[in-house]
Amino acid sequence: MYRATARRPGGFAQLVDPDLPGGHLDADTITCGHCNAVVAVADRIAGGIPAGGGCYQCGAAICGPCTDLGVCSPFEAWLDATEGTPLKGRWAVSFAEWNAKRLGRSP
Amino acid sequence: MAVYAVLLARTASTTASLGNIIAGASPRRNFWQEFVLGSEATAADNPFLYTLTRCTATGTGSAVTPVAIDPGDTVASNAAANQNMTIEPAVGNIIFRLPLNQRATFRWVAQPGSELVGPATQNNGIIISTPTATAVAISSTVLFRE
Repeated sequence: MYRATARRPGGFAQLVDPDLPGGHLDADTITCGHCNAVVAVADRIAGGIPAGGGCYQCGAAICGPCTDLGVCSPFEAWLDATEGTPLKGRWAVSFAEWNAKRLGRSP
Repeated sequence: MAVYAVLLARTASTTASLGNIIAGASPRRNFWQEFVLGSEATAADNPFLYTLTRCTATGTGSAVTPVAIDPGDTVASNAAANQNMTIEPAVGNIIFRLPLNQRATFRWVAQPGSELVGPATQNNGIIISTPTATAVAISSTVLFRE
């Protein structure tokens, strides 16, 4: 059984295929903190390419394309914008929202 | 928070989607914590590409009622689900792509806090499509929390 693991995974994926050695393949996944995409982590021992990166601003694990963008656009802020939830007047906001507001960026 | 199961099925099509789950009239966020993708057709070597894409409309399909996993949860889900789409909804970003052989079955389970999230906006949600497919039976089970 093949298994690629992450120290703090966002989930795991299981592929059942009769052509695979052992019949199945397991891998941990991360869920991108910016775009919500699910990415399987690579088996680094086997020379795989890392799945993405980490955001220094919101602290989330993020996918490769979001890493390449190089900006912090938290998924939580996107959700709030989509839902039309006003930030003003709320007693508490998530760190992601707070960070987006501090930077003056639209999610 | 209740967990609901949605079972989606159709004959695969490259132009018509398998199904979607969208927020209903009293929208709440729905958190996809597990899904299974695969084909129950007679085993054959056919390539499939499954995608999960954000959608901003209902589209047209056969309605599916989300079923609470715990029979004690008697409140109906606020989300609406459709399968066997005939008219595609407006779509946004692809958040998951999975090339898969017809012989294979795929399952994904989220850690709490890392789920796929559908926004609490009416008719917004996630749609499962097969841009690459052969016309055989495919199905999916989605467990989501709201």
